[in-house]
Amino acid sequence: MTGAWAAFARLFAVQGAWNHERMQGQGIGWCSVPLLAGLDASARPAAVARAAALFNGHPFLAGVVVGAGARAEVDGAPAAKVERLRTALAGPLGALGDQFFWSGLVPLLSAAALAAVAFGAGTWAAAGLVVAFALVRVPVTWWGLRLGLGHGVRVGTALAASWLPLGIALVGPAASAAVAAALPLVVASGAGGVAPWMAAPGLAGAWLLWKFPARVRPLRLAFAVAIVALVLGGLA
Amino acid sequence: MGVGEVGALLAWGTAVGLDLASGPQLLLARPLVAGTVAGLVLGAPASGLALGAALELYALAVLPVGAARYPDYGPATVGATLLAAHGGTAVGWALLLALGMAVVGGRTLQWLRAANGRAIAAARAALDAGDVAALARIQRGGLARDALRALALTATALVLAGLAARLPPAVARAGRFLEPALVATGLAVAAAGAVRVAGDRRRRAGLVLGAVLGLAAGALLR
Repeated sequence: MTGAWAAFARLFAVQGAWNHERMQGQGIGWCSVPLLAGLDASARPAAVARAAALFNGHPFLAGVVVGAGARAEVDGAPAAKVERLRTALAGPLGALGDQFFWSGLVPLLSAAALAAVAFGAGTWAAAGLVVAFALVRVPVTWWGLRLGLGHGVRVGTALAASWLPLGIALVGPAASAAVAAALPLVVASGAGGVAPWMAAPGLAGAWLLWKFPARVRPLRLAFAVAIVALVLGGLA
Repeated sequence: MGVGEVGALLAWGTAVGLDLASGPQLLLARPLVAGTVAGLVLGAPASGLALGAALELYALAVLPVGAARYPDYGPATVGATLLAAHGGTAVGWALLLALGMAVVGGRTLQWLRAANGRAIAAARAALDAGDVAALARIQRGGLARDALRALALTATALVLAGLAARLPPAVARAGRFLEPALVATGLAVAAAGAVRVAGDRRRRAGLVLGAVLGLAAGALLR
Protein backbone atom coordinates (compact mmCIF):
# COMPACT_ATOMS: atom_id res chain seq x y z
CA MET A 1 0.00 0.00 0.00
CA THR A 2 1.33 3.44 -0.90
CA GLY A 3 1.95 6.05 1.73
CA ALA A 4 3.20 3.66 4.41
CA TRP A 5 6.42 5.57 5.02
CA ALA A 6 4.61 8.91 5.23
CA ALA A 7 2.11 7.41 7.68
CA PHE A 8 5.00 5.93 9.69
CA ALA A 9 6.68 9.33 9.97
CA ARG A 10 3.40 10.97 11.02
CA LEU A 11 2.88 8.36 13.75
CA PHE A 12 5.64 10.06 15.73
CA ALA A 13 3.37 13.08 16.12
CA VAL A 14 0.06 11.24 16.38
CA GLN A 15 -0.78 13.08 19.60
CA GLY A 16 0.20 16.48 18.25
CA ALA A 17 -3.34 17.79 18.69
CA TRP A 18 -4.60 15.51 21.48
CA ASN A 19 -7.88 16.80 22.89
CA HIS A 20 -10.77 15.65 25.05
CA GLU A 21 -13.20 15.96 22.12
CA ARG A 22 -11.71 13.24 19.88
CA MET A 23 -8.66 12.26 21.92
CA GLN A 24 -6.19 10.63 19.49
CA GLY A 25 -8.79 10.54 16.72
CA GLN A 26 -7.59 13.75 15.05
CA GLY A 27 -4.04 12.42 14.94
CA ILE A 28 -5.14 8.99 13.71
CA GLY A 29 -6.98 10.69 10.87
CA TRP A 30 -3.95 12.82 10.01
CA CYS A 31 -1.67 9.75 9.98
CA SER A 32 -4.16 7.84 7.81
CA VAL A 33 -4.31 10.45 5.05
CA PRO A 34 -1.25 9.17 3.09
CA LEU A 35 -2.65 5.62 3.18
CA LEU A 36 -6.06 6.73 1.94
CA ALA A 37 -4.68 8.80 -0.92
CA GLY A 38 -5.21 5.96 -3.40
CA LEU A 39 -8.93 5.67 -2.68
CA ASP A 40 -11.47 6.80 -5.22
CA ALA A 41 -12.06 10.54 -4.86
CA SER A 42 -15.73 9.97 -4.05
CA ALA A 43 -14.93 7.52 -1.21
CA ARG A 44 -11.93 9.32 0.26
CA PRO A 45 -13.61 12.14 2.23
CA ALA A 46 -15.87 9.74 4.15
CA ALA A 47 -12.92 7.42 4.87
CA VAL A 48 -10.82 10.33 6.16
CA ALA A 49 -13.71 11.51 8.33
CA ARG A 50 -14.10 8.02 9.84
CA ALA A 51 -10.37 7.82 10.50
CA ALA A 52 -10.48 11.16 12.36
CA ALA A 53 -13.39 10.21 14.63
CA LEU A 54 -13.04 9.74 18.40
CA PHE A 55 -10.35 7.22 19.28
CA ASN A 56 -7.97 6.59 22.13
CA GLY A 57 -5.54 3.72 22.42
CA HIS A 58 -1.81 3.85 23.00
CA PRO A 59 0.29 6.28 20.95
CA PHE A 60 3.06 3.77 20.26
CA LEU A 61 0.57 1.22 18.93
CA ALA A 62 -1.49 3.76 16.97
CA GLY A 63 -0.04 2.31 13.78
CA VAL A 64 -2.20 -0.76 14.29
CA VAL A 65 -5.46 1.16 14.00
CA VAL A 66 -4.07 3.49 11.32
CA GLY A 67 -2.99 0.53 9.19
CA ALA A 68 -6.00 -1.68 9.85
CA GLY A 69 -8.46 1.14 9.25
CA ALA A 70 -6.78 2.14 5.99
CA ARG A 71 -6.59 -1.47 4.81
CA ALA A 72 -10.29 -1.98 5.58
CA GLU A 73 -11.19 1.17 3.65
CA VAL A 74 -9.06 0.17 0.66
CA ASP A 75 -10.60 -3.33 0.72
CA GLY A 76 -14.03 -1.73 0.55
CA ALA A 77 -15.27 -2.79 3.97
CA PRO A 78 -18.65 -1.26 4.91
CA ALA A 79 -18.47 1.92 6.98
CA ALA A 80 -20.16 0.26 9.95
CA LYS A 81 -17.53 -2.49 9.96
CA VAL A 82 -14.68 0.05 9.93
CA GLU A 83 -16.28 1.88 12.82
CA ARG A 84 -16.72 -1.38 14.77
CA LEU A 85 -13.07 -2.22 14.11
CA ARG A 86 -11.96 1.09 15.62
CA THR A 87 -14.24 0.64 18.62
CA ALA A 88 -12.98 -2.90 19.16
CA LEU A 89 -9.31 -1.90 18.94
CA ALA A 90 -9.31 1.08 21.31
CA GLY A 91 -9.47 -0.82 24.60
CA PRO A 92 -7.00 -3.61 23.76
CA LEU A 93 -4.47 -1.25 22.18
CA GLY A 94 -4.63 1.01 25.22
CA ALA A 95 -4.29 -1.86 27.67
CA LEU A 96 -1.50 -3.62 25.78
CA GLY A 97 0.46 -0.42 25.19
CA ASP A 98 0.09 0.77 28.76
CA GLN A 99 1.27 -2.57 30.12
CA PHE A 100 4.15 -2.97 27.72
CA PHE A 101 5.41 0.61 27.62
CA TRP A 102 4.19 2.71 30.54
CA SER A 103 4.34 0.11 33.31
CA GLY A 104 6.94 -2.11 31.66
CA LEU A 105 9.62 -0.89 29.30
CA VAL A 106 9.79 2.75 30.44
CA PRO A 107 10.27 2.02 34.18
CA LEU A 108 12.60 -0.87 33.29
CA LEU A 109 14.91 1.35 31.24
CA SER A 110 14.57 4.31 33.60
CA ALA A 111 15.52 2.17 36.59
CA ALA A 112 18.41 0.65 34.64
CA ALA A 113 19.63 4.18 33.85
CA LEU A 114 19.39 5.18 37.53
CA ALA A 115 21.35 2.07 38.49
CA ALA A 116 23.94 2.97 35.86
CA VAL A 117 24.23 6.47 37.35
CA ALA A 118 24.77 4.90 40.76
CA PHE A 119 27.59 2.83 39.29
CA GLY A 120 29.19 5.94 37.81
CA ALA A 121 28.05 5.76 34.19
CA GLY A 122 27.55 9.52 34.19
CA THR A 123 25.97 11.13 31.16
CA TRP A 124 26.15 7.84 29.24
CA ALA A 125 23.26 6.61 31.37
CA ALA A 126 20.97 9.25 29.86
CA ALA A 127 22.20 8.50 26.34
CA GLY A 128 21.69 4.79 26.91
CA LEU A 129 18.15 5.38 28.13
CA VAL A 130 17.17 7.22 24.95
CA VAL A 131 18.95 4.85 22.58
CA ALA A 132 17.65 1.67 24.23
CA PHE A 133 14.11 3.00 24.21
CA ALA A 134 14.32 4.14 20.59
CA LEU A 135 15.55 0.67 19.59
CA VAL A 136 12.20 -0.69 20.74
CA ARG A 137 9.81 2.21 20.19
CA VAL A 138 10.70 2.89 16.54
CA PRO A 139 10.52 -0.73 15.31
CA VAL A 140 7.32 -1.34 17.30
CA THR A 141 5.72 1.68 15.63
CA TRP A 142 6.62 0.28 12.21
CA TRP A 143 5.55 -3.24 13.21
CA GLY A 144 2.15 -1.98 14.38
CA LEU A 145 1.55 -0.17 11.11
CA ARG A 146 2.56 -3.22 9.06
CA LEU A 147 0.40 -5.50 11.22
CA GLY A 148 -2.62 -3.30 10.63
CA LEU A 149 -1.96 -2.93 6.92
CA GLY A 150 -1.44 -6.67 6.56
CA HIS A 151 -4.50 -7.86 8.44
CA GLY A 152 -7.13 -5.15 8.11
CA VAL A 153 -10.34 -6.03 9.94
CA ARG A 154 -8.73 -9.25 11.27
CA VAL A 155 -5.94 -7.37 13.04
CA GLY A 156 -7.36 -8.21 16.47
CA THR A 157 -6.59 -11.90 15.99
CA ALA A 158 -3.14 -11.07 14.67
CA LEU A 159 -2.49 -8.83 17.64
CA ALA A 160 -3.48 -11.56 20.09
CA ALA A 161 -1.19 -14.05 18.33
CA SER A 162 1.74 -11.62 18.15
CA TRP A 163 4.79 -11.30 20.42
CA LEU A 164 3.13 -8.53 22.42
CA PRO A 165 1.36 -10.59 25.13
CA LEU A 166 4.59 -12.52 25.75
CA GLY A 167 6.52 -9.26 25.76
CA ILE A 168 4.20 -7.91 28.45
CA ALA A 169 4.58 -11.09 30.50
CA LEU A 170 8.36 -10.67 30.42
CA VAL A 171 8.82 -6.92 30.67
CA GLY A 172 6.43 -6.39 33.60
CA PRO A 173 8.31 -8.51 36.16
CA ALA A 174 11.61 -7.24 34.75
CA ALA A 175 10.47 -3.65 35.34
CA SER A 176 9.45 -4.42 38.91
CA ALA A 177 12.79 -6.08 39.55
CA ALA A 178 14.73 -3.23 37.97
CA VAL A 179 12.99 -0.52 40.00
CA ALA A 180 13.34 -2.50 43.22
CA ALA A 181 17.03 -3.04 42.50
CA ALA A 182 17.74 0.55 41.48
CA LEU A 183 16.39 2.24 44.62
CA PRO A 184 18.90 0.69 47.09
CA LEU A 185 21.66 1.48 44.61
CA VAL A 186 20.63 5.14 44.52
CA VAL A 187 20.80 5.20 48.34
CA ALA A 188 24.13 3.38 48.37
CA SER A 189 25.63 5.80 45.88
CA GLY A 190 24.99 8.60 48.35
CA ALA A 191 22.92 10.57 45.84
CA GLY A 192 21.61 13.83 47.22
CA GLY A 193 23.18 13.25 50.62
CA VAL A 194 20.54 10.69 51.54
CA ALA A 195 21.56 9.06 54.81
CA PRO A 196 20.71 5.52 55.97
CA TRP A 197 18.64 6.90 58.89
CA MET A 198 16.21 8.30 56.33
CA ALA A 199 15.13 4.74 55.48
CA ALA A 200 12.52 4.69 58.25
CA PRO A 201 10.70 7.92 57.35
CA GLY A 202 11.18 7.06 53.68
CA LEU A 203 9.48 3.69 54.08
CA ALA A 204 6.72 5.35 56.10
CA GLY A 205 6.21 7.81 53.26
CA ALA A 206 6.14 5.00 50.71
CA TRP A 207 3.57 3.15 52.79
CA LEU A 208 1.37 6.27 53.00
CA LEU A 209 1.61 6.80 49.26
CA TRP A 210 0.78 3.19 48.55
CA LYS A 211 -1.99 2.82 51.12
CA PHE A 212 -3.76 6.13 50.54
CA PRO A 213 -3.10 7.02 46.89
CA ALA A 214 -6.12 9.31 46.66
CA ARG A 215 -5.22 11.33 49.76
CA VAL A 216 -1.43 11.29 49.77
CA ARG A 217 -0.24 12.52 46.38
CA PRO A 218 3.47 12.30 45.54
CA LEU A 219 4.05 15.98 44.89
CA ARG A 220 1.90 17.15 47.79
CA LEU A 221 4.00 14.94 50.05
CA ALA A 222 7.16 16.38 48.50
CA PHE A 223 6.02 19.94 49.14
CA ALA A 224 5.06 19.10 52.73
CA VAL A 225 8.48 17.52 53.28
CA ALA A 226 10.13 20.55 51.68
CA ILE A 227 8.38 22.90 54.12
CA VAL A 228 9.59 20.83 57.07
CA ALA A 229 13.11 20.75 55.62
CA LEU A 230 13.11 24.52 55.13
CA VAL A 231 11.91 25.14 58.68
CA LEU A 232 14.58 22.81 60.06
CA GLY A 233 17.18 24.37 57.80
CA GLY A 234 16.23 27.83 58.97
CA LEU A 235 16.46 26.82 62.62
CA ALA A 236 19.73 24.92 62.33
CA MET B 1 25.50 32.50 30.94
CA GLY B 2 25.67 33.73 27.35
CA VAL B 3 22.95 34.30 24.78
CA GLY B 4 23.93 31.09 23.03
CA GLU B 5 23.44 29.03 26.18
CA VAL B 6 20.06 30.67 26.86
CA GLY B 7 18.97 29.95 23.31
CA ALA B 8 20.18 26.35 23.53
CA LEU B 9 18.35 25.79 26.81
CA LEU B 10 15.14 27.32 25.44
CA ALA B 11 15.39 25.14 22.32
CA TRP B 12 16.11 22.04 24.38
CA GLY B 13 13.27 22.79 26.82
CA THR B 14 10.88 23.24 23.91
CA ALA B 15 11.96 19.94 22.33
CA VAL B 16 11.64 18.20 25.68
CA GLY B 17 8.17 19.64 26.28
CA LEU B 18 7.01 18.51 22.85
CA ASP B 19 8.44 15.05 23.40
CA LEU B 20 6.26 14.39 26.43
CA ALA B 21 3.07 13.82 24.45
CA SER B 22 3.03 15.55 21.06
CA GLY B 23 6.08 13.83 19.64
CA PRO B 24 8.36 12.12 18.92
CA GLN B 25 8.01 10.55 22.38
CA LEU B 26 11.54 9.17 22.61
CA LEU B 27 11.98 9.74 26.37
CA LEU B 28 13.71 13.08 25.84
CA ALA B 29 11.20 14.42 28.36
CA ARG B 30 12.47 12.13 31.12
CA PRO B 31 14.16 14.26 33.80
CA LEU B 32 17.34 12.21 33.63
CA VAL B 33 17.73 13.01 29.93
CA ALA B 34 16.43 16.59 30.10
CA GLY B 35 18.68 17.46 33.05
CA THR B 36 21.78 15.78 31.68
CA VAL B 37 21.61 17.58 28.34
CA ALA B 38 20.83 20.90 30.05
CA GLY B 39 23.85 20.31 32.29
CA LEU B 40 26.01 19.66 29.24
CA VAL B 41 24.82 22.93 27.69
CA LEU B 42 25.80 24.78 30.86
CA GLY B 43 29.14 23.01 31.17
CA ALA B 44 27.94 21.33 34.37
CA PRO B 45 26.93 17.82 33.31
CA ALA B 46 27.28 16.40 36.82
CA SER B 47 24.78 18.93 38.21
CA GLY B 48 22.28 18.23 35.43
CA LEU B 49 22.70 14.51 35.91
CA ALA B 50 22.23 14.70 39.70
CA LEU B 51 19.13 16.88 39.41
CA GLY B 52 17.72 14.72 36.62
CA ALA B 53 18.34 11.50 38.53
CA ALA B 54 16.57 12.86 41.62
CA LEU B 55 13.57 13.97 39.58
CA GLU B 56 13.57 10.68 37.68
CA LEU B 57 12.55 9.02 40.95
CA TYR B 58 9.35 11.08 40.93
CA ALA B 59 8.78 10.45 37.22
CA LEU B 60 9.06 6.69 37.79
CA ALA B 61 5.71 6.73 39.58
CA VAL B 62 3.88 8.52 36.76
CA LEU B 63 1.63 6.39 34.57
CA PRO B 64 0.49 8.61 31.69
CA VAL B 65 -2.38 6.29 30.75
CA GLY B 66 -5.39 7.38 28.73
CA ALA B 67 -6.43 10.95 29.48
CA ALA B 68 -4.65 10.98 32.86
CA ARG B 69 -3.33 14.22 34.35
CA TYR B 70 0.35 14.16 35.18
CA PRO B 71 3.20 16.59 35.91
CA ASP B 72 5.45 17.77 33.09
CA TYR B 73 8.98 17.32 34.41
CA GLY B 74 10.90 18.06 31.20
CA PRO B 75 10.97 21.87 30.76
CA ALA B 76 10.96 22.21 34.57
CA THR B 77 14.14 20.13 34.79
CA VAL B 78 15.83 22.08 32.01
CA GLY B 79 15.14 25.40 33.74
CA ALA B 80 16.04 24.19 37.21
CA THR B 81 19.39 22.83 36.00
CA LEU B 82 20.53 26.45 35.69
CA LEU B 83 20.08 26.79 39.45
CA ALA B 84 21.49 23.35 40.28
CA ALA B 85 24.68 24.24 38.41
CA HIS B 86 25.54 26.63 41.29
CA GLY B 87 26.00 23.58 43.55
CA GLY B 88 25.69 23.50 47.35
CA THR B 89 22.27 24.39 48.74
CA ALA B 90 21.19 25.55 45.28
CA VAL B 91 20.64 21.90 44.28
CA GLY B 92 17.89 21.49 46.88
CA TRP B 93 16.26 24.74 45.79
CA ALA B 94 16.52 23.57 42.18
CA LEU B 95 14.71 20.36 43.06
CA LEU B 96 11.93 22.33 44.72
CA LEU B 97 11.70 24.68 41.75
CA ALA B 98 11.53 21.78 39.30
CA LEU B 99 8.80 20.01 41.26
CA GLY B 100 6.76 23.21 41.41
CA MET B 101 7.23 23.92 37.71
CA ALA B 102 6.32 20.31 36.91
CA VAL B 103 2.94 20.89 38.55
CA VAL B 104 2.48 24.09 36.56
CA GLY B 105 3.50 22.19 33.43
CA GLY B 106 0.87 19.57 34.12
CA ARG B 107 -1.77 22.30 34.37
CA THR B 108 -0.67 23.79 31.06
CA LEU B 109 -1.20 20.39 29.42
CA GLN B 110 -4.87 20.68 30.37
CA TRP B 111 -5.07 24.15 28.84
CA LEU B 112 -3.39 22.81 25.71
CA ARG B 113 -5.87 19.97 25.41
CA ALA B 114 -8.77 22.35 25.90
CA ALA B 115 -7.37 24.69 23.23
CA ASN B 116 -6.98 21.76 20.84
CA GLY B 117 -10.57 20.77 21.61
CA ARG B 118 -11.77 24.27 20.72
CA ALA B 119 -9.90 24.06 17.40
CA ILE B 120 -11.56 20.72 16.71
CA ALA B 121 -14.99 22.08 17.59
CA ALA B 122 -14.49 25.08 15.32
CA ALA B 123 -13.58 22.80 12.41
CA ARG B 124 -16.13 20.06 13.09
CA ALA B 125 -18.00 20.51 9.82
CA ALA B 126 -14.81 20.37 7.79
CA LEU B 127 -13.55 17.32 9.70
CA ASP B 128 -16.86 15.51 9.30
CA ALA B 129 -16.63 16.20 5.58
CA GLY B 130 -13.16 14.57 5.48
CA ASP B 131 -11.32 17.82 4.76
CA VAL B 132 -7.64 16.83 4.68
CA ALA B 133 -6.48 20.46 4.85
CA ALA B 134 -8.45 20.99 8.06
CA LEU B 135 -6.86 17.90 9.60
CA ALA B 136 -3.37 19.14 8.73
CA ARG B 137 -4.15 22.65 10.00
CA ILE B 138 -5.39 21.37 13.36
CA GLN B 139 -2.39 19.06 13.72
CA ARG B 140 0.05 21.88 12.95
CA GLY B 141 -1.83 24.18 15.31
CA GLY B 142 -1.67 21.64 18.12
CA LEU B 143 2.05 21.15 17.67
CA ALA B 144 2.65 24.90 17.55
CA ARG B 145 0.62 25.46 20.71
CA ASP B 146 2.55 22.74 22.52
CA ALA B 147 5.86 24.21 21.35
CA LEU B 148 4.82 27.62 22.69
CA ARG B 149 3.69 26.02 25.95
CA ALA B 150 7.03 24.25 26.40
CA LEU B 151 8.99 27.36 25.46
CA ALA B 152 7.06 29.49 27.95
CA LEU B 153 7.52 26.89 30.68
CA THR B 154 11.25 26.66 30.06
CA ALA B 155 11.62 30.44 29.98
CA THR B 156 9.67 30.79 33.23
CA ALA B 157 11.74 28.12 34.92
CA LEU B 158 14.96 29.78 33.73
CA VAL B 159 13.86 33.19 35.03
CA LEU B 160 12.88 31.71 38.40
CA ALA B 161 16.16 29.80 38.54
CA GLY B 162 18.05 33.03 37.86
CA LEU B 163 16.16 34.81 40.63
CA ALA B 164 16.64 31.90 43.06
CA ALA B 165 20.39 31.99 42.41
CA ARG B 166 20.35 35.47 43.96
CA LEU B 167 18.62 34.48 47.19
CA PRO B 168 20.06 36.16 50.30
CA PRO B 169 22.63 33.88 51.94
CA ALA B 170 20.47 33.27 55.01
CA VAL B 171 17.52 32.15 52.88
CA ALA B 172 19.75 30.03 50.65
CA ARG B 173 21.19 28.31 53.73
CA ALA B 174 17.70 27.45 54.95
CA GLY B 175 17.55 25.05 52.03
CA ARG B 176 20.46 22.97 53.31
CA PHE B 177 18.20 19.97 54.04
CA LEU B 178 16.07 20.29 50.91
CA GLU B 179 18.16 18.05 48.69
CA PRO B 180 18.35 14.98 50.96
CA ALA B 181 14.73 15.43 52.03
CA LEU B 182 13.43 15.65 48.46
CA VAL B 183 15.64 12.83 47.19
CA ALA B 184 14.44 10.62 50.06
CA THR B 185 10.85 11.55 49.23
CA GLY B 186 11.54 10.71 45.60
CA LEU B 187 12.77 7.29 46.65
CA ALA B 188 9.55 6.80 48.65
CA VAL B 189 7.46 7.91 45.66
CA ALA B 190 9.27 5.51 43.33
CA ALA B 191 8.98 2.63 45.81
CA ALA B 192 5.25 3.22 46.30
CA GLY B 193 4.74 3.39 42.55
CA ALA B 194 6.62 0.13 42.04
CA VAL B 195 4.53 -1.66 44.66
CA ARG B 196 1.29 -0.24 43.23
CA VAL B 197 1.87 -1.63 39.72
CA ALA B 198 3.10 -5.00 41.03
CA GLY B 199 -0.41 -6.41 40.95
CA ASP B 200 0.26 -9.99 39.94
CA ARG B 201 2.41 -12.73 41.41
CA ARG B 202 5.13 -12.49 38.78
CA ARG B 203 5.59 -8.77 39.28
CA ARG B 204 5.64 -9.15 43.05
CA ALA B 205 8.28 -11.88 42.69
CA GLY B 206 10.28 -9.53 40.47
CA LEU B 207 9.96 -6.82 43.09
CA VAL B 208 11.33 -9.05 45.85
CA LEU B 209 14.12 -10.44 43.68
CA GLY B 210 15.10 -6.96 42.55
CA ALA B 211 15.14 -5.61 46.10
CA VAL B 212 17.42 -8.45 47.24
CA LEU B 213 19.77 -7.95 44.31
CA GLY B 214 19.75 -4.18 44.76
CA LEU B 215 20.53 -4.40 48.47
CA ALA B 216 23.37 -6.85 47.80
CA ALA B 217 24.81 -4.71 45.02
CA GLY B 218 24.32 -1.60 47.14
CA ALA B 219 26.37 -3.18 49.92
CA LEU B 220 29.17 -3.77 47.42
CA LEU B 221 28.83 -0.21 46.13
CA ARG B 222 29.39 1.21 49.59
